[in-house]
Amino acid sequence: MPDTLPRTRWQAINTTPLRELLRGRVTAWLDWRALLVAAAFPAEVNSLITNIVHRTRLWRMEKSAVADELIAHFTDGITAGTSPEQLIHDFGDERTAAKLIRRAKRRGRPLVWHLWTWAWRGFVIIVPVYALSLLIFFTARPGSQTNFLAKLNAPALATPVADRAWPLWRRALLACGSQDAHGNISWPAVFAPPRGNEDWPAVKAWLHQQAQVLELARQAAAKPTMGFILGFDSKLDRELPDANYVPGTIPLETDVMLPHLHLLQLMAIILTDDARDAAEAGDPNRAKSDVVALIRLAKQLRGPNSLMTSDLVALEIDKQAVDRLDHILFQHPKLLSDQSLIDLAHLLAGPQVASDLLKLRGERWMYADMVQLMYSGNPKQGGRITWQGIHQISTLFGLLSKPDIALRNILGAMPFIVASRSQVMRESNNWMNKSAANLAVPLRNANWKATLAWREHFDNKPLESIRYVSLLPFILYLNPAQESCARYLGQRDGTLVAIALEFYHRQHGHYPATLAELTPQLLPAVPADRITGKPLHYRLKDGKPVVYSVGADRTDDGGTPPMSHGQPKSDWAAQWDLPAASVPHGDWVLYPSMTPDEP
Amino acid sequence: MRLERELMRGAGPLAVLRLLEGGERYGYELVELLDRRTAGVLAMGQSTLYPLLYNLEAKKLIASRVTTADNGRPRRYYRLTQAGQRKLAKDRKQWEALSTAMGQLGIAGA
Repeated sequence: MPDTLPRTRWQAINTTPLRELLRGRVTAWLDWRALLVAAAFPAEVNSLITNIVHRTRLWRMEKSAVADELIAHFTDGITAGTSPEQLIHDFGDERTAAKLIRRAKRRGRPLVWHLWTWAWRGFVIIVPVYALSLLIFFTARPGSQTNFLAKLNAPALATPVADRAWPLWRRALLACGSQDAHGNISWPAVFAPPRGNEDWPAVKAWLHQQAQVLELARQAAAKPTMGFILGFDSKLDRELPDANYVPGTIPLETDVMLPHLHLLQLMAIILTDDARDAAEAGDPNRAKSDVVALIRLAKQLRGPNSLMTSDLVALEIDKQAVDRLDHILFQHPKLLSDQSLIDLAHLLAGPQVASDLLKLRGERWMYADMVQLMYSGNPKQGGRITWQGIHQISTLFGLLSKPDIALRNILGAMPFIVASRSQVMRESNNWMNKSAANLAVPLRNANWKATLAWREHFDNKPLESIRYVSLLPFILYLNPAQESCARYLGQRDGTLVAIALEFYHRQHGHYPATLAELTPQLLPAVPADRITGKPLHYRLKDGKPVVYSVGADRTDDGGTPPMSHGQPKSDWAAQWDLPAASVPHGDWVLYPSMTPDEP
Repeated sequence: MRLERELMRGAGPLAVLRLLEGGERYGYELVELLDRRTAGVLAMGQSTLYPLLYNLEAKKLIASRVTTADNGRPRRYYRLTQAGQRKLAKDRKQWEALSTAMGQLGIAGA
């Protein structure tokens, strides 16, 4: 037991192992200084040992063990006859000794201590980095801003007011409906859905009172541009954009209003019904004018900077025009003059693939606007997600709801986890370019599997999904839209063939045996079946022509569509990439229209 | 001749394990044996030996116990553990292979 050094009570307690204290004994076993004094070494040896033990900065018990060892070593050396000076010389550098002894002793400490040490080091490193990351995240502000609303409105604003169609459409709508205090135009009662043939007499009676409305509509359709100025409310008589709008403060994606679309769909219904009435009344000029107005209305909606929603409404209006023309050709084949048929064929003939009907520029701008609202920096370099950006995503998609506490807790790491502004824009453009490439070819040749595989890549990699959290919810899936376009274009092809067949009939008194006889005078070429790529099929049924595609089952059923409860379901056969077991049997009939002829 | 530090780093631990193969030894004894039996080639300062011993103990290759020496002072003895014996056997083979290879190159004696 160490002894010989006078010590205070506190020194004795301080050098007693804890387990001895807990047993009520003050033994001072760890008092290595007392051991050193008891060894009675020369001062130089004392100094060496003291310095080394101090420099190790080890725990008390470890220091005591080291001191014991060194005291034993020098004692053995002196006992063996070696001089203290020689022992000191042979010992080596005390700093090096202390460092190496410290390192070795720490290596032998318990695993729990090592785990705690590494955890503490990790904490000391991670906490400041996380704090810095939080600072960067919460102080970052959205970066440079482009006024995409101005870009969207540019074509309309560049058009002289007199050439803008919307003011006339609006007058026509106001003339046939009523406007409330908020500027909302109400739907005329005769057009309240659902409607059936039993409503036709009432519709006709109403139409006969709306000659002025219909004339205004036809004048509106004749204008070169729609000219509707986009804004953030339902105001219909806006002539200039909102002067108070600050780019990057309001998301165009969600807040831009398109109140005119719903109303123009109403006008399209009115024109379609009037065309039917005109055909029944034997009025070819009115019938043709109404169909032409529908086609031109769709073209106006499909402006150079149109949004997808507007393009899809235009597609529906195009389909209404073709449906109505089909009904006129089938039920009143001699109604329209040769010139009218030529004019209508020329108006319909333009688009060939989906990219002619769907413009993606507006959608690209909408997303770029969303990005500038969410990110700092400028479009060309870097840029980090901001708190406003995460808040925006959360508001739109509820990502910060209670179940996503994990996401909430890693907000501080967002700048280093979430992809940068330029990365997100690059991937967005990548997606849009792949989609645009598919839209530019016939659907049967499009490779959506490869395009969608890009999206599925993120589903399989959770970290990537988090990195691109500002992109994935905004991805536009355009394959369904391409299918809609393909169905319309197929029916349009059928209508063009029907017009050529009618011309042939007028010239020869009978229909041709094959569609090849229509080329090249009446048709440049027999249109391709949009499912197989081979020429369309044709036959006569009850003396009337039927133009059809073989449909998804790729077998010629003689122009018989799939049936359900006794009703033809021609569109069921207009499918691409179906599993063999799901393919409906029957042909996709393109002419005559299978749509019921009712209001 | 003293070895360069890099060579000593590999040879020193093996030499200590080999000396402990013969039985328990204490620190100063190991210092003397290393110096005497290797003609000073593997002599290492005590500032190096004790950390080496502590490292070997941390790796469980040797173990220690404290007893009272003849002079009445506590003395720590070191002995080889089973893991240390396996390590010694493995390193011995490697050194034999190295020595043979060097001999074939004409660097070490055959």
